[in-house]
Amino acid sequence: MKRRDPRVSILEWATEAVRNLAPWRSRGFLAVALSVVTGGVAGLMLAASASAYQADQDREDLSGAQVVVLGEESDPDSPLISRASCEGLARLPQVRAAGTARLMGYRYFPRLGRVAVMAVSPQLVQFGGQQILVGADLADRSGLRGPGHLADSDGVGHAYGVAPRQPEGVDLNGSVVVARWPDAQVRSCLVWLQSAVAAEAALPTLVSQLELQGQGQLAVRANPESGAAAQRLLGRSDRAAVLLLGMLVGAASGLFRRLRPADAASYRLSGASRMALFTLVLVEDLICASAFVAAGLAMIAVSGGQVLGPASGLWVGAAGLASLVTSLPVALAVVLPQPIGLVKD
Amino acid sequence: MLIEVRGASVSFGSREVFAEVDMTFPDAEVSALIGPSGSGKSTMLGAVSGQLKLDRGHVRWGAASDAGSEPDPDLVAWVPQSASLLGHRSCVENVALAGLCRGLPRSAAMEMAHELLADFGLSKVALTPAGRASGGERQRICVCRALATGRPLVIADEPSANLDAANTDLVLAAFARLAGSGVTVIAASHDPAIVGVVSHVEYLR
Ligand SMILES: Nc1ncnc2c1ncn2[C@@H]1O[C@H](COP(=O)(O)OP(=O)(O)OP(=O)(O)O)[C@@H](O)[C@H]1O
Ligand SMILES: [Mg+2]
Repeated sequence: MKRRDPRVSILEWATEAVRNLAPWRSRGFLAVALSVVTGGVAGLMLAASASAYQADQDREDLSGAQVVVLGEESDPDSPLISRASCEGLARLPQVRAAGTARLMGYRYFPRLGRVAVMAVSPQLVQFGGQQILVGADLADRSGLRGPGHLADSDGVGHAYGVAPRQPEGVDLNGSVVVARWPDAQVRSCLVWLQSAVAAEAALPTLVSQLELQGQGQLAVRANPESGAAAQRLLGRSDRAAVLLLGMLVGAASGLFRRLRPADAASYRLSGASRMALFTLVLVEDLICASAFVAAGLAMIAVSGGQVLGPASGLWVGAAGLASLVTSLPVALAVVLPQPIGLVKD
Repeated sequence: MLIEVRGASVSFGSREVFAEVDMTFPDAEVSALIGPSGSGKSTMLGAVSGQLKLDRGHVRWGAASDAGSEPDPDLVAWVPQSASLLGHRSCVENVALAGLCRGLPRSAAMEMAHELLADFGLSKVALTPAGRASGGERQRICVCRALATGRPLVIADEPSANLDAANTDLVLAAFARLAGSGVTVIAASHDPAIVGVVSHVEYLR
C-alpha cells in the first residue's frame, strides 16, 4: 500500500525557493535581506581591519623596527665588511633592502639650501634611473615633487627623483642621495627586513652571508620588537568575527523558519516528504548563503580590494558555509515533526 | 478503506484525554467524529492518521485487528483545524503545491488547482496571496489542497468551523462525491448539525 515518493525535480524546488524568498516582507525576504546586510558588514569588517593593520604595519616599518645594523661605522676595530656581500643580502627572501650609506659631505643647492649628501648602495634605495634622489623630508620641506632637474651651485642640472620614505635607522630622508661608491669595504651594513621577519631569527643567516676581514667582534643592532606588527596582522580576530557573523545569520534564518511553522506545514500537508521539505530548505538556505557571500565580496571589492588578498574572499565564503551549517540543524525542528505537530504550534 | 480503533487511550501527563475507546470508520463513506471542545477529536484523528502514538490500544487500516495494516501518514490528506497556508503565495499556488508534490508538471498542477478553487467558489481569490484570504476562504483552500493530493483517506479537523451554511454544504457535498469515488472521509466537528448529512457518526465525550 506504500506509495513511493514521487520525484519532484530540484528545479521545481528551486522555483519554490525563489518564490518563497522573493515576496516583500515575507519570512524568506527577511532572511535574504539579513544575509545581504550581514554579508556586507562582514566584507567591510575584513577590509577595514586589514587596512588598519596594514597602516599599523607600515608605521612600524618606518619606525625602524625592521632595520638591522651590522658593524660599527665609527669603530676602527670593527671588522671590515665586503661591500658586495652587504649588498648581496638584498637578494635574501627575508630582506627588503640592504646596502651601505656614508656621508660624502655638504653641498649647496639653490632650491634646497646647504644639505648633506649621502652616498648609498642602489640595493638600499631604488634610484629608478635618476642620478640623484632627494630625501622625502627634504622634498616636503622644499616643495619638490620630482622627477625633474635640480641645479647645483655651479648651475649644472641633475636628473632627480624624490626618494621613497626610508625607515629610521636608514637616515636619508633629510639628505640628497647619490649612488656613487668608491669603497670595496665598509665598516657597517644596513639591512631593512621584510615586515613579517623577526630580526632574531634572521640574524644568523645575515651574518653568515657577510664576507668579513679583521679580528674584532661584529656589532649587531636590531629591534627585539621586529616582526611584531606582522604577527598582529596574522593573529587578528576579524576572521573569527566574520565566521561568527555567518553563524549568526544562519541561526536567524533558521529561527525565522521556526517562527513560521505554517510554511513547513503547508508543504507537508501538500504531500511533500521530509526529504523533499529538507531539499527545499537546503535550496532556500543556499540562496541566502550565496547572497551573504556575494554581498561580502562586493564590499571587499569596493572598499579595500587592493590591501586584501584572495584569502579574504575565502573567509567570506567560509562564513557563508558557516551560515548554512548553522541554519540546517535549526531547520530540522520544522522538517522532522509530523504536520499535526507543526500546525499545533 | 475501513478503519478500526480498538481500546484506544491517550493521556498528556496526568490528563487523560480518552480511554478504552472503540470506533469504526467505514470504507468509502463520510464519517463524522463529534465531541465537545477538548474531548480529544484532534488527538483521535492524529492517531487514526498515524501521526500520533496511542498510549494503549491500536488503530488498524483495511480490516479488523491483525489482517489490517498500520496507519500510514503518507496516505492521508489532512485538512488542519487552523488553516496552514503559505501566506505570501497565491491561493491557487497553495493548492497547486499538492499537485506538484504528486509529480505533476507545474502547469498541470495549476490547472487542476484552478478547477478545484472554482468548485468551491474561490475563483475570485485564486490570485490573491493566501494570507489575505478570509478565514472561511482559507479553510476551503485547505480542503482543495487536501483533495489535490489525491490520497485515499481524507481527514478533516473541523472543516466547517469558519464556514456559513452554504459553504458547509459545498464542502460536505464535495466529501460525499469523494466517498462515491472510493475515498474514505473522516471529519471532526463539535457541531451536531453535521450529523444529519453524513453517513456515519462516532462520538467522543
Ligand atoms: N500535545 C499536547 N500536550 C498536552 N496536552 C495536549 C496536547 N494535545 C492535546 N492536548 C490536550 O488534550 C485535550 C484534547 O485536545 P484535542 O485537541 O484533541 O481536543 P479537540 O476535541 O480537538 O478540541 P477542539 O474542538 O477545541 O479542537 C485538550 O485538553 C488539550 O489541551
Ligand atoms: Mg481539535
